[in-house]
Amino acid sequence: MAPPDAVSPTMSDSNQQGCATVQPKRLLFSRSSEALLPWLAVALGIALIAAPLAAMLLQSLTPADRDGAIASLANFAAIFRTRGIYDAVLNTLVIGVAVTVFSTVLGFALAWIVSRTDLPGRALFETLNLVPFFLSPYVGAISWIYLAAPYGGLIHNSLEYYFGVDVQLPTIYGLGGVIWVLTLFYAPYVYLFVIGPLRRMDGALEDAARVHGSSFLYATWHITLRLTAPALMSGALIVFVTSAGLFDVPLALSLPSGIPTVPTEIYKFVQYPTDFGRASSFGVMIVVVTVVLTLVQRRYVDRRRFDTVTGKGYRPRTIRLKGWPLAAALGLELMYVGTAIVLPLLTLVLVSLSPIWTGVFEPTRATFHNYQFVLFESVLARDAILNSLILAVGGATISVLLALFQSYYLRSGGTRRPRSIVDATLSLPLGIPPIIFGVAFLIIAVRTPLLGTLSLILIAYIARFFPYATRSISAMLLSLHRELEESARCCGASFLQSLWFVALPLLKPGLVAAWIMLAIIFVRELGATVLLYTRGTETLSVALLLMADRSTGYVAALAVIQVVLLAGGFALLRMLRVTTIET
Amino acid sequence: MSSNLEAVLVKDVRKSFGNFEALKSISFEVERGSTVALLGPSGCGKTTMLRCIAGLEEAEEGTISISGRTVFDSKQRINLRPEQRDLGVVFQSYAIWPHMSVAENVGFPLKLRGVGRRELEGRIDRVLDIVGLREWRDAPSTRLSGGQQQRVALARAVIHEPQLVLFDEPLSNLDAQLREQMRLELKVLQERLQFTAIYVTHDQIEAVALARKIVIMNHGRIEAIGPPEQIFERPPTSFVARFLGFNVVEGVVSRIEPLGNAGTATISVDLAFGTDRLIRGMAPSGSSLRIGSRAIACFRREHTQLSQPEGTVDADGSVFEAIVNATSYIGLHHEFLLTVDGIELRAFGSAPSAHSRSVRAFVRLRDCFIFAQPGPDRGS
Repeated sequence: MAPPDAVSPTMSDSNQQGCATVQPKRLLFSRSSEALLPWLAVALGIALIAAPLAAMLLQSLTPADRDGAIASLANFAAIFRTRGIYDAVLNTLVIGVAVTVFSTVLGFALAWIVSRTDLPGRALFETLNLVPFFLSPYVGAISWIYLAAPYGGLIHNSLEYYFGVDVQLPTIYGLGGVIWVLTLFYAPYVYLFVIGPLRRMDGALEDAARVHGSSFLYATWHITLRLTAPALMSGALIVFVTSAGLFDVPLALSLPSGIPTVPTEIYKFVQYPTDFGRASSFGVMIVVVTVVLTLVQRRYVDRRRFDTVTGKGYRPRTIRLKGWPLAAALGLELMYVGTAIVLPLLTLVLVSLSPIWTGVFEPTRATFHNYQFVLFESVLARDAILNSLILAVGGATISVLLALFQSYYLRSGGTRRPRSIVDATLSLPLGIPPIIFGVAFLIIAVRTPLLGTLSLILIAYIARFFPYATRSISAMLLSLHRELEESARCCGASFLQSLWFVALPLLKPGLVAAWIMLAIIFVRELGATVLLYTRGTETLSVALLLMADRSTGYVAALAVIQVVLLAGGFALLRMLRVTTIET
Repeated sequence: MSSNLEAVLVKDVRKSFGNFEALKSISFEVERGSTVALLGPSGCGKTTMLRCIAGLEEAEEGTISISGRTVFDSKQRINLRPEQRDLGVVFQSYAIWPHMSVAENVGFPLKLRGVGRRELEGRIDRVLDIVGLREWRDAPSTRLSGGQQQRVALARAVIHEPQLVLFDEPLSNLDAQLREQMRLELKVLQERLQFTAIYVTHDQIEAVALARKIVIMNHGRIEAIGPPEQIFERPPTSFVARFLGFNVVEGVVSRIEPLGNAGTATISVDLAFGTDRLIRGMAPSGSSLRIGSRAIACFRREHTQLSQPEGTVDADGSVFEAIVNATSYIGLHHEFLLTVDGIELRAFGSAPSAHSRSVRAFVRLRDCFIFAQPGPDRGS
């Protein structure tokens, strides 16, 4: 098919006659930007995904001893002979399933309480329930170690110190601890997915069930839950994939007790003595599983996500709480906010103010020394903060630009079938654990000058996380009426001019939201970074890991700084939502 | 190659979406300073045609030129982008930019053309005067009503004095009263500014009111092309007749004879329908009508009279018994819903025939057009 911008030389001839009119002035370069830029962005996106995965596949097929066969499946065979590998897979499944079940139940309950009941203070809870979504699970795990470590946790020691009781908590080290912390941090994922449908649901649907004689619980189970099921499924799937692929929380909580998971095993393969063969073949297997899961999800879940109840006329019935249901709802909210936000953050602050952490905060000895150290004295901490900021700003900006132009391709570029394949390809990284991207980019880096540079980490971040932006921005672009841009074009605007004057201002709230979300993700990223950093390219999360050898106080102070950055991003997002113009 | 009279020349344009042929070789022309309406039911290809002219859609074959400049030519691989075609377009959704004020919306085409600030402001004022929105100049465009947004879209489409203004069902989102008012305003503006325009609509009243030439489209083909009077007086095909709201009766040709003096190009045709009923109409003598072939009789509801006019004899037309099913007063006239052997017909009349459910309907021969029905002939 002829490209839309193919213009033959003869055009200028036939142009001569009718050229009395003023040719539109070009503010930006634009010969064939309309076709070129979206296509370039898609090509770049696919390259960012395909290159590391291809490198990993090649590596996995390369035998460790280079004599004899050029390619073999020896690395794959070696995986199955690795001691403890089945335990790791089993542990990962246990974590994934348990976290998914618990956070789905918790997330749905929280969403239902704030959207459908008259719980006092629900506007505040609505915001608070989201806070953990923006904080770092790794910092949460660190805080919970301070809180609940056996013989030294704040809860145990304070109770003993102030009340003289010796309460033994179940240990935070182990699968239980991982599941506990991840449930607290992933419940908001489910919450985010279901709160919209819950809010938009027509109360009459439930009323109809009640009127026809069903009990409250029956109506909730059969009507409310059924109607939110697609959103609930999407949320649960994301929680499963994310929690199973997460590296940092198991690193903090289960690995110290010698309990491996899949991501920590991959991490171990890459540590000295490095076994890229095993790391990459394990990675390839996980990617295959992910691809299959993604295909299943696209086929059965994704399609249903958008057919939630629409229209404005609905007003969901608010349920009046009193007596024990009120106590239960309030109790759940307070418990959640307490264990997921207040206690961990409070502990972090207390630890960061203590010269030596003994498990009890002593106000008389409080000091800002830890902050002084991490902010002004430690080269590591200073570099880490700076690097994290560079990666967050640079990575988010590049990703959003990439996503914007990709969205144009996904809306109208090429023909339909290749477009849906491109769409699927560009969503691929969403399911792949970041640590696998770490392995893949490390394999590339050891053969290129990228090794040990901040650019390496930046590229890896963009490759793994730009699809978040692509998905949200392409959805927004689809909801932007095409005639708005077409009329700009017909007024004489080039593609880039129409983008600048019309599309960008209208998409701005969404673009900024995507930008902040990515910046937040990059500030807390550890899974990929932990394999790619070297001296001088440490990030905040890496510094938290490294500082653990030095002093708890330093770690806590640095963690507080990270929390402040992340909370700032969250606050910006909330403010933005208020000023979003409805178009 | 193209005379100065033709502002737009569309020749053999084809376009398909996958297996669906949206445009099957469309050709027509628009004279400078006049308006052509593309009229047809939804899905007939009229909007696709407009989008191909605007450059928002790329045709597969054919040529399109605007003011003598080729903007699309499949053979020479020319396809100018929309911004290179010097157009004004009024979209169905108005496409008013919500983040700009009225003046910013209207002035946008001039801003892109690098018009200086003083001139820009002056021209914005002038065009807003014309559409009667001067006092809304600095208002946010989101505060405007539907009709006002329509006027902003119009002002924006003509402010840079383009070679051609395209209208894509511009009035279809307005309520009936406002639509009528806007139609009149458009007509006034058109006469005042003398722009060349192509106007896409499914509403025959709009097409007739605004256009000097009408192109009726169906399934990606042109069914009729010509001045509105001509098409309405004598619809050239049965589709056009149906689309324009004519009464349609299907039947079998029972008699054909020359009409009037020998040598005239019309024949008189009798069509048998229902149970032993006959309707007499006329057709061009070159038509493929044969005795026993299936055919359609079309006549306007205004020409379906409930009493035989004085001074006419039965041979001047057809008379048949009909049953009045419903009568509604539509202002000045009554509209009647009749059935003849289960076939529904509509008629206009001035006096309600009170109480009598059974009436004699009369259609004059020269108001009734007979078309051959495509499909296999059946003897009886």
